[in-house]
Amino acid sequence: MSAGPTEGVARTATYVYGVVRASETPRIDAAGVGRQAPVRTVTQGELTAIVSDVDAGFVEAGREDLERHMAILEQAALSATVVPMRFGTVMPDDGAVAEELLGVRAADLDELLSGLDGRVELSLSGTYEERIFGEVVAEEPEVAALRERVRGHDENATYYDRIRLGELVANAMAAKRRRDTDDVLAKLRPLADDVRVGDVAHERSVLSASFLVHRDRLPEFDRAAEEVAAQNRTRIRFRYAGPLPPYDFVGGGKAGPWG
Amino acid sequence: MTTQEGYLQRSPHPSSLYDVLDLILDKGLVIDLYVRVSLVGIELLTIDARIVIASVDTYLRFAEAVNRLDLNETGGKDLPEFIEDLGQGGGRGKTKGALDGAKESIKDVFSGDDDDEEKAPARRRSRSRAKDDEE
Repeated sequence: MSAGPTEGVARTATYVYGVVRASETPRIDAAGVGRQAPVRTVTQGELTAIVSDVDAGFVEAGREDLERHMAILEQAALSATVVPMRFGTVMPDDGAVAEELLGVRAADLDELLSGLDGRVELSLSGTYEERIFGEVVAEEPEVAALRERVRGHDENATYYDRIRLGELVANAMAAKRRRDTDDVLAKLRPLADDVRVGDVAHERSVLSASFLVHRDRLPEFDRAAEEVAAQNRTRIRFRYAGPLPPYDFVGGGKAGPWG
Repeated sequence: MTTQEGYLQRSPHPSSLYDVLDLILDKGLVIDLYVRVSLVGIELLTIDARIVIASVDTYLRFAEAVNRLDLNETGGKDLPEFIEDLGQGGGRGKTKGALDGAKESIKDVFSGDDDDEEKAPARRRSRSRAKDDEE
């Protein structure tokens, strides 16, 4: 950004996207985050880091950077098993990447890569359709009765009844969510090597889950996901993304394995 | 780039910004001391977007949802309309309740709007009302 003329030379740091096995080093034709320098690689021993130059003062990123980070890792994942780094990982220079990441952490990275070998992440999330409320009314006599009492009456006069009604609906939805989540996981978990179920993102969410799946099983997993969606077609809208780099399966969260 | 094949809404990668954030923020391998770039304010908004379900606000919205049901018709949508909706992905256009409100508040940050979190809940409410008139 501000070219901060440090004696006329822009200082450079190295942004790290992810790590692959050197034998699988992908060719990535893309512009990186920040100053959009070409993506390149740093190899040390058996490991290769996917990197690009950024300004040394690159500390605040925007939406476009997030999307570039994601797109570059996706390109790498097309042909290689990738350990994705947390967004925003910047090291002082290539030497630090080679020594402090690929060198010092070689054994850990090797273990992670072995565990992920040939596997990709698939993300599945579901949201209830509006008609789920019809299901709730049909299944819960108390909801149906209270609904009759409240409908068509003055909003202010029925304020507390409406809160009660909404609470009953929320409880019924929570029970539904548990059943539907269990049902989806029962069908898909057997085809995955690992599963992460995320928090429910909003009030009509059913689930948000990531599956670690071997490439060989992708067609099978695909069919199973399609079946789940077909079975629920009138009530749950499913979104399915992937194959993705295994963001969810490299020990992210607040403290990484080395955090 | 979203495709419809059978009943799954598929995309090679997350199609909305909300999904991008959900998928990659706070994920990936961390080498301590070396994560220096931050998306200022974004993490906060992601948390804000995770609506507390057990709230009076949600209860009233749910009550409204069951009250406006036409039980003879059992609500819901026909498939063509459903597909049309899917095509819009996380974009603007037809908005639906809380999630979209949250998405937009995140978008505003990216587009540099001077929006603050306080405004998001109000917008969600007005959206669910607007939806009422739509049908």
